Amino acid sequence: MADDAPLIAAAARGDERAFAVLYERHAPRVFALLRRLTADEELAAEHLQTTFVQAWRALHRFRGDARVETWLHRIAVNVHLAHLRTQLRRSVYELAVAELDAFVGTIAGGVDPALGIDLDRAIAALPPAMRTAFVLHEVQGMSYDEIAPLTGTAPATLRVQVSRARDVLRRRLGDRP
Amino acid sequence: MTMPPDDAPDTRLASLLDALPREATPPAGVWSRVLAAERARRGRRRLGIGAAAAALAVVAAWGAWPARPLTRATSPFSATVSGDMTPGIFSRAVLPEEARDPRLRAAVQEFEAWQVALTDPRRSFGWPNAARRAVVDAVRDTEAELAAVRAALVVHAGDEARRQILLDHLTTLRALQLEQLQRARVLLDQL
Repeated sequence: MADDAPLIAAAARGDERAFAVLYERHAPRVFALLRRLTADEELAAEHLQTTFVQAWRALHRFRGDARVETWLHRIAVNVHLAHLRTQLRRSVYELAVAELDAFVGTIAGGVDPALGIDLDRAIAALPPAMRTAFVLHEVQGMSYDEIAPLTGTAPATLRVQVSRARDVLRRRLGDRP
Repeated sequence: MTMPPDDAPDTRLASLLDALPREATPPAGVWSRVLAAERARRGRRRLGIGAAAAALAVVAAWGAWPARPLTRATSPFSATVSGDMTPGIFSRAVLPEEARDPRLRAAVQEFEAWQVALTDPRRSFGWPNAARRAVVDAVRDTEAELAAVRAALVVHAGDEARRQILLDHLTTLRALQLEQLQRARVLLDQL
Protein backbone atom coordinates (compact mmCIF):
# COMPACT_ATOMS: atom_id res chain seq x y z
CA MET A 1 0.00 0.00 0.00
CA ALA A 2 1.45 3.35 -1.02
CA ASP A 3 2.19 5.96 1.61
CA ASP A 4 -1.01 7.74 2.61
CA ALA A 5 0.60 10.44 4.77
CA PRO A 6 1.08 13.06 2.01
CA LEU A 7 -2.49 12.49 0.84
CA ILE A 8 -3.86 12.86 4.37
CA ALA A 9 -1.93 16.10 4.84
CA ALA A 10 -3.09 17.48 1.50
CA ALA A 11 -6.72 16.45 2.10
CA ALA A 12 -6.65 18.06 5.55
CA ARG A 13 -5.68 21.30 3.80
CA GLY A 14 -8.81 20.98 1.65
CA ASP A 15 -7.38 19.18 -1.40
CA GLU A 16 -10.39 17.26 -2.76
CA ARG A 17 -8.29 15.32 -5.30
CA ALA A 18 -6.09 13.97 -2.52
CA PHE A 19 -9.12 12.72 -0.64
CA ALA A 20 -10.48 11.21 -3.87
CA VAL A 21 -7.29 9.16 -4.18
CA LEU A 22 -7.67 8.00 -0.56
CA TYR A 23 -11.25 7.00 -1.35
CA GLU A 24 -10.24 5.02 -4.45
CA ARG A 25 -7.48 3.32 -2.52
CA HIS A 26 -9.44 2.32 0.61
CA ALA A 27 -13.14 2.28 -0.26
CA PRO A 28 -13.14 -1.29 -1.68
CA ARG A 29 -11.86 -2.79 1.58
CA VAL A 30 -14.10 -0.63 3.75
CA PHE A 31 -17.07 -1.53 1.58
CA ALA A 32 -16.28 -5.25 1.82
CA LEU A 33 -16.17 -4.95 5.61
CA LEU A 34 -19.44 -3.01 5.75
CA ARG A 35 -21.20 -5.44 3.45
CA ARG A 36 -20.18 -8.26 5.74
CA LEU A 37 -21.21 -6.38 8.89
CA THR A 38 -24.59 -5.22 7.60
CA ALA A 39 -25.46 -8.08 5.24
CA ASP A 40 -27.20 -5.43 3.19
CA GLU A 41 -25.73 -3.93 0.00
CA GLU A 42 -27.67 -0.66 0.11
CA LEU A 43 -27.11 -0.09 3.81
CA ALA A 44 -23.42 -0.84 3.35
CA ALA A 45 -23.25 1.82 0.62
CA GLU A 46 -24.94 4.34 2.94
CA HIS A 47 -22.51 3.48 5.71
CA LEU A 48 -19.59 3.78 3.29
CA GLN A 49 -20.71 7.30 2.44
CA THR A 50 -21.08 8.19 6.14
CA THR A 51 -17.69 6.67 6.92
CA PHE A 52 -15.85 8.78 4.37
CA VAL A 53 -17.79 11.93 5.25
CA GLN A 54 -16.85 11.45 8.90
CA ALA A 55 -13.25 10.66 7.97
CA TRP A 56 -13.01 13.84 5.92
CA ARG A 57 -14.28 15.87 8.85
CA ALA A 58 -11.83 14.20 11.21
CA LEU A 59 -8.74 14.46 8.99
CA HIS A 60 -7.21 17.17 11.16
CA ARG A 61 -7.42 14.80 14.15
CA PHE A 62 -5.65 11.92 12.40
CA ARG A 63 -2.19 11.83 13.97
CA GLY A 64 -0.76 8.90 12.05
CA ASP A 65 -0.32 6.58 15.04
CA ALA A 66 -2.44 3.97 13.20
CA ARG A 67 -2.58 3.02 9.54
CA VAL A 68 -5.16 4.91 7.50
CA GLU A 69 -6.84 1.62 6.67
CA THR A 70 -7.17 0.76 10.38
CA TRP A 71 -8.49 4.23 11.14
CA LEU A 72 -11.08 4.02 8.35
CA HIS A 73 -12.17 0.55 9.43
CA ARG A 74 -12.66 1.81 12.96
CA ILE A 75 -14.86 4.66 11.74
CA ALA A 76 -16.82 2.20 9.59
CA VAL A 77 -17.36 -0.13 12.54
CA ASN A 78 -18.58 2.79 14.64
CA VAL A 79 -21.00 3.86 11.91
CA HIS A 80 -22.35 0.31 11.75
CA LEU A 81 -22.68 0.07 15.55
CA ALA A 82 -24.37 3.46 15.79
CA HIS A 83 -26.92 2.22 13.27
CA LEU A 84 -27.44 -0.99 15.25
CA ARG A 85 -28.04 1.06 18.40
CA THR A 86 -30.63 3.15 16.56
CA GLN A 87 -32.36 -0.06 15.56
CA LEU A 88 -32.23 -1.17 19.18
CA ARG A 89 -33.77 2.07 20.34
CA ARG A 90 -36.52 1.74 17.80
CA SER A 91 -37.75 -1.51 19.22
CA VAL A 92 -35.42 -3.53 21.31
CA TYR A 93 -37.80 -6.35 22.04
CA GLU A 94 -38.97 -6.89 18.46
CA LEU A 95 -35.36 -6.89 17.31
CA ALA A 96 -34.44 -9.45 19.95
CA VAL A 97 -37.22 -11.71 18.76
CA ALA A 98 -36.25 -11.19 15.11
CA GLU A 99 -32.63 -12.02 15.90
CA LEU A 100 -33.67 -15.17 17.65
CA ASP A 101 -35.92 -16.21 14.81
CA ALA A 102 -33.03 -15.71 12.40
CA PHE A 103 -30.72 -17.59 14.73
CA VAL A 104 -33.06 -20.54 15.10
CA GLY A 105 -33.80 -20.48 11.37
CA THR A 106 -30.10 -20.59 10.62
CA ILE A 107 -29.60 -23.68 12.73
CA ALA A 108 -32.74 -25.44 11.57
CA GLY A 109 -32.59 -24.42 7.93
CA GLY A 110 -29.25 -25.79 6.87
CA VAL A 111 -27.88 -24.97 3.44
CA ASP A 112 -29.41 -25.52 0.07
CA PRO A 113 -26.83 -27.87 -1.51
CA ALA A 114 -27.43 -26.14 -4.82
CA LEU A 115 -25.93 -23.00 -3.36
CA GLY A 116 -22.71 -24.69 -2.33
CA ILE A 117 -20.50 -23.37 0.42
CA ASP A 118 -21.07 -19.67 0.58
CA LEU A 119 -19.49 -18.49 3.76
CA ASP A 120 -20.47 -14.89 3.15
CA ARG A 121 -24.09 -15.96 2.79
CA ALA A 122 -23.86 -17.95 6.01
CA ILE A 123 -22.27 -15.02 7.84
CA ALA A 124 -25.01 -12.74 6.51
CA ALA A 125 -27.63 -15.03 8.09
CA LEU A 126 -26.20 -14.58 11.59
CA PRO A 127 -28.04 -12.22 13.96
CA PRO A 128 -26.57 -8.67 13.82
CA ALA A 129 -24.76 -8.66 17.18
CA MET A 130 -23.32 -12.13 16.62
CA ARG A 131 -22.35 -11.27 13.05
CA THR A 132 -20.62 -8.08 14.18
CA ALA A 133 -18.59 -9.92 16.81
CA PHE A 134 -17.69 -12.72 14.38
CA VAL A 135 -16.65 -10.45 11.50
CA LEU A 136 -14.57 -8.18 13.69
CA HIS A 137 -12.83 -11.07 15.45
CA GLU A 138 -12.49 -13.72 12.77
CA VAL A 139 -12.36 -11.70 9.56
CA GLN A 140 -10.80 -8.45 10.74
CA GLY A 141 -8.57 -10.12 13.32
CA MET A 142 -9.48 -7.81 16.20
CA SER A 143 -9.10 -9.10 19.75
CA TYR A 144 -12.06 -9.30 22.12
CA ASP A 145 -10.47 -6.56 24.20
CA GLU A 146 -10.32 -4.32 21.13
CA ILE A 147 -13.91 -5.01 20.16
CA ALA A 148 -15.37 -4.62 23.66
CA PRO A 149 -15.13 -0.81 23.96
CA LEU A 150 -16.49 -0.38 20.44
CA THR A 151 -19.58 -2.49 20.99
CA GLY A 152 -20.12 -1.86 24.72
CA THR A 153 -20.17 -5.63 25.17
CA ALA A 154 -18.02 -7.52 27.67
CA PRO A 155 -15.14 -9.58 26.19
CA ALA A 156 -16.62 -12.72 27.76
CA THR A 157 -19.94 -12.07 25.99
CA LEU A 158 -18.15 -11.44 22.70
CA ARG A 159 -16.34 -14.74 23.07
CA VAL A 160 -19.69 -16.51 23.57
CA GLN A 161 -21.14 -14.77 20.51
CA VAL A 162 -18.17 -15.71 18.32
CA SER A 163 -18.21 -19.28 19.61
CA ARG A 164 -21.93 -19.57 18.82
CA ALA A 165 -21.36 -18.09 15.38
CA ARG A 166 -18.69 -20.72 14.71
CA ASP A 167 -21.10 -23.44 15.82
CA VAL A 168 -23.75 -22.17 13.42
CA LEU A 169 -21.28 -21.94 10.54
CA ARG A 170 -19.81 -25.37 11.28
CA ARG A 171 -23.31 -26.84 11.23
CA ARG A 172 -23.96 -25.25 7.89
CA LEU A 173 -20.69 -26.56 6.52
CA GLY A 174 -21.45 -29.96 8.04
CA ASP A 175 -24.74 -30.11 6.20
CA ARG A 176 -22.85 -30.22 2.93
CA PRO A 177 -22.83 -33.58 1.22
CA MET B 1 -5.99 -15.48 28.54
CA THR B 2 -6.83 -19.20 28.49
CA MET B 3 -8.88 -20.07 25.46
CA PRO B 4 -11.49 -22.78 25.47
CA PRO B 5 -10.78 -25.68 23.09
CA ASP B 6 -13.26 -24.44 20.53
CA ASP B 7 -12.06 -20.85 20.57
CA ALA B 8 -10.19 -21.14 17.28
CA PRO B 9 -12.05 -21.92 14.08
CA ASP B 10 -11.48 -25.41 12.73
CA THR B 11 -9.20 -25.87 9.74
CA ARG B 12 -11.98 -25.96 7.20
CA LEU B 13 -13.67 -22.84 8.51
CA ALA B 14 -10.30 -21.10 8.87
CA SER B 15 -9.35 -21.82 5.26
CA LEU B 16 -12.72 -20.53 4.06
CA LEU B 17 -12.25 -17.41 6.16
CA ASP B 18 -8.83 -16.87 4.62
CA ALA B 19 -10.34 -17.18 1.17
CA LEU B 20 -13.02 -14.54 1.74
CA PRO B 21 -12.63 -11.61 -0.65
CA ARG B 22 -11.26 -8.58 1.20
CA GLU B 23 -12.41 -6.05 -1.36
CA ALA B 24 -15.69 -5.18 -3.01
CA THR B 25 -16.42 -2.53 -5.60
CA PRO B 26 -18.51 0.25 -4.06
CA PRO B 27 -21.61 1.30 -5.98
CA ALA B 28 -21.14 4.20 -8.35
CA GLY B 29 -22.33 7.43 -6.88
CA VAL B 30 -21.09 7.02 -3.32
CA TRP B 31 -18.04 9.19 -3.94
CA SER B 32 -20.10 11.99 -5.50
CA ARG B 33 -22.41 11.95 -2.47
CA VAL B 34 -19.42 12.13 -0.11
CA LEU B 35 -18.11 15.09 -2.08
CA ALA B 36 -21.50 16.83 -2.08
CA ALA B 37 -21.92 16.33 1.68
CA GLU B 38 -18.49 17.78 2.43
CA ARG B 39 -19.02 20.78 0.16
CA ALA B 40 -22.41 21.45 1.76
CA ARG B 41 -20.85 21.27 5.22
CA ARG B 42 -18.15 23.75 4.27
CA GLY B 43 -20.81 26.08 2.94
CA ARG B 44 -22.85 25.84 6.14
CA ARG B 45 -19.74 26.38 8.21
CA ARG B 46 -18.82 29.54 6.36
CA LEU B 47 -22.40 30.75 6.78
CA GLY B 48 -22.45 29.79 10.46
CA ILE B 49 -19.18 31.52 11.24
CA GLY B 50 -20.42 34.63 9.51
CA ALA B 51 -23.73 34.57 11.35
CA ALA B 52 -22.08 33.96 14.72
CA ALA B 53 -19.67 36.82 14.16
CA ALA B 54 -22.54 39.11 13.25
CA ALA B 55 -24.54 38.04 16.31
CA LEU B 56 -21.59 38.60 18.62
CA ALA B 57 -21.05 42.02 17.11
CA VAL B 58 -24.67 42.93 17.82
CA VAL B 59 -24.46 41.62 21.38
CA ALA B 60 -21.26 43.53 22.02
CA ALA B 61 -22.70 46.72 20.57
CA TRP B 62 -25.86 46.60 22.66
CA GLY B 63 -24.21 45.29 25.80
CA ALA B 64 -27.10 42.86 26.01
CA TRP B 65 -25.27 39.64 26.81
CA PRO B 66 -24.79 40.08 30.58
CA ALA B 67 -28.33 41.40 30.95
CA ARG B 68 -30.07 38.52 29.22
CA PRO B 69 -32.73 37.23 31.63
CA LEU B 70 -32.76 33.63 32.75
CA THR B 71 -35.94 31.96 31.61
CA ARG B 72 -35.35 28.54 33.10
CA ALA B 73 -36.88 29.19 36.51
CA THR B 74 -40.21 30.31 35.08
CA SER B 75 -40.36 28.13 31.98
CA PRO B 76 -43.36 25.83 31.49
CA PHE B 77 -40.88 22.95 31.24
CA SER B 78 -39.50 23.36 34.75
CA ALA B 79 -42.98 23.86 36.13
CA THR B 80 -44.44 20.75 34.57
CA VAL B 81 -41.71 18.15 34.50
CA SER B 82 -39.46 19.05 37.40
CA GLY B 83 -40.99 16.19 39.34
CA ASP B 84 -39.62 13.78 36.77
CA MET B 85 -36.13 15.16 36.92
CA THR B 86 -35.00 13.06 39.83
CA PRO B 87 -32.96 9.85 39.82
CA GLY B 88 -36.35 8.22 40.41
CA ILE B 89 -36.59 8.23 36.64
CA PHE B 90 -34.29 5.21 36.84
CA SER B 91 -35.93 1.92 37.64
CA ARG B 92 -35.05 0.57 41.07
CA ALA B 93 -36.03 -2.98 40.08
CA VAL B 94 -32.88 -3.92 38.21
CA LEU B 95 -31.56 -7.41 37.61
CA PRO B 96 -28.44 -8.63 39.42
CA GLU B 97 -26.60 -8.58 36.07
CA GLU B 98 -27.47 -4.90 35.66
CA ALA B 99 -26.61 -4.04 39.24
CA ARG B 100 -23.11 -5.44 38.66
CA ASP B 101 -22.62 -3.26 35.58
CA PRO B 102 -20.68 -0.14 36.67
CA ARG B 103 -22.38 1.78 33.88
CA LEU B 104 -25.63 1.77 35.87
CA ARG B 105 -24.06 3.74 38.72
CA ALA B 106 -22.21 5.93 36.21
CA ALA B 107 -25.46 6.74 34.37
CA VAL B 108 -27.24 7.68 37.60
CA GLN B 109 -24.29 9.86 38.62
CA GLU B 110 -24.18 11.53 35.21
CA PHE B 111 -27.89 12.31 35.47
CA GLU B 112 -27.49 13.72 38.97
CA ALA B 113 -24.51 15.82 37.88
CA TRP B 114 -26.51 17.09 34.92
CA GLN B 115 -29.35 18.12 37.24
CA VAL B 116 -26.94 19.94 39.53
CA ALA B 117 -25.43 21.71 36.52
CA LEU B 118 -28.88 22.90 35.49
CA THR B 119 -29.24 24.74 38.80
CA ASP B 120 -26.05 26.66 38.04
CA PRO B 121 -27.15 29.59 35.86
CA ARG B 122 -23.62 30.09 34.53
CA ARG B 123 -23.61 26.59 33.07
CA SER B 124 -27.23 26.18 32.02
CA PHE B 125 -27.52 29.71 30.64
CA GLY B 126 -27.65 28.80 26.97
CA TRP B 127 -29.66 25.61 27.15
CA PRO B 128 -32.97 25.69 25.34
CA ASN B 129 -35.88 24.00 27.06
CA ALA B 130 -36.19 21.53 24.19
CA ALA B 131 -32.67 20.26 24.92
CA ARG B 132 -33.49 19.74 28.61
CA ARG B 133 -36.66 17.91 27.69
CA ALA B 134 -34.79 15.75 25.16
CA VAL B 135 -32.36 14.53 27.80
CA VAL B 136 -35.15 13.54 30.20
CA ASP B 137 -37.07 11.87 27.34
CA ALA B 138 -33.99 9.94 26.26
CA VAL B 139 -33.45 8.57 29.76
CA ARG B 140 -37.14 7.73 30.12
CA ASP B 141 -37.21 5.99 26.73
CA THR B 142 -34.14 3.93 27.53
CA GLU B 143 -35.61 2.94 30.88
CA ALA B 144 -38.84 1.86 29.16
CA GLU B 145 -36.86 -0.29 26.73
CA LEU B 146 -34.82 -1.77 29.55
CA ALA B 147 -38.06 -2.64 31.34
CA ALA B 148 -39.35 -4.37 28.19
CA VAL B 149 -36.19 -6.47 27.99
CA ARG B 150 -36.46 -7.38 31.69
CA ALA B 151 -40.03 -8.52 31.11
CA ALA B 152 -38.89 -10.62 28.14
CA LEU B 153 -36.18 -12.18 30.31
CA VAL B 154 -38.81 -13.30 32.80
CA VAL B 155 -40.99 -14.77 30.05
CA HIS B 156 -38.05 -16.68 28.52
CA ALA B 157 -36.35 -17.68 31.76
CA GLY B 158 -35.74 -21.23 30.53
CA ASP B 159 -34.26 -20.35 27.14
CA GLU B 160 -30.55 -19.72 27.65
CA ALA B 161 -29.79 -18.63 24.07
CA ARG B 162 -32.61 -16.09 24.12
CA ARG B 163 -31.64 -14.91 27.59
CA GLN B 164 -28.07 -14.26 26.46
CA ILE B 165 -29.20 -12.10 23.56
CA LEU B 166 -31.58 -10.18 25.80
CA LEU B 167 -28.85 -9.66 28.40
CA ASP B 168 -26.60 -8.33 25.63
CA HIS B 169 -29.35 -5.85 24.78
CA LEU B 170 -29.52 -4.73 28.40
CA THR B 171 -25.81 -3.99 28.33
CA THR B 172 -26.03 -2.18 25.01
CA LEU B 173 -28.95 -0.06 26.16
CA ARG B 174 -27.23 0.94 29.38
CA ALA B 175 -24.09 1.88 27.44
CA LEU B 176 -26.22 3.96 25.09
CA GLN B 177 -27.91 5.71 28.00
CA LEU B 178 -24.59 6.54 29.61
CA GLU B 179 -23.21 7.80 26.31
CA GLN B 180 -26.22 10.09 25.83
CA LEU B 181 -25.86 11.54 29.31
CA GLN B 182 -22.14 12.09 28.89
CA ARG B 183 -22.80 13.81 25.59
CA ALA B 184 -25.46 15.97 27.26
CA ARG B 185 -22.95 17.06 29.90
CA VAL B 186 -20.38 17.98 27.26
CA LEU B 187 -22.99 19.90 25.28
CA LEU B 188 -24.09 21.72 28.41
CA ASP B 189 -20.61 23.12 28.84
CA GLN B 190 -20.10 23.88 25.16
CA LEU B 191 -23.20 26.01 24.67
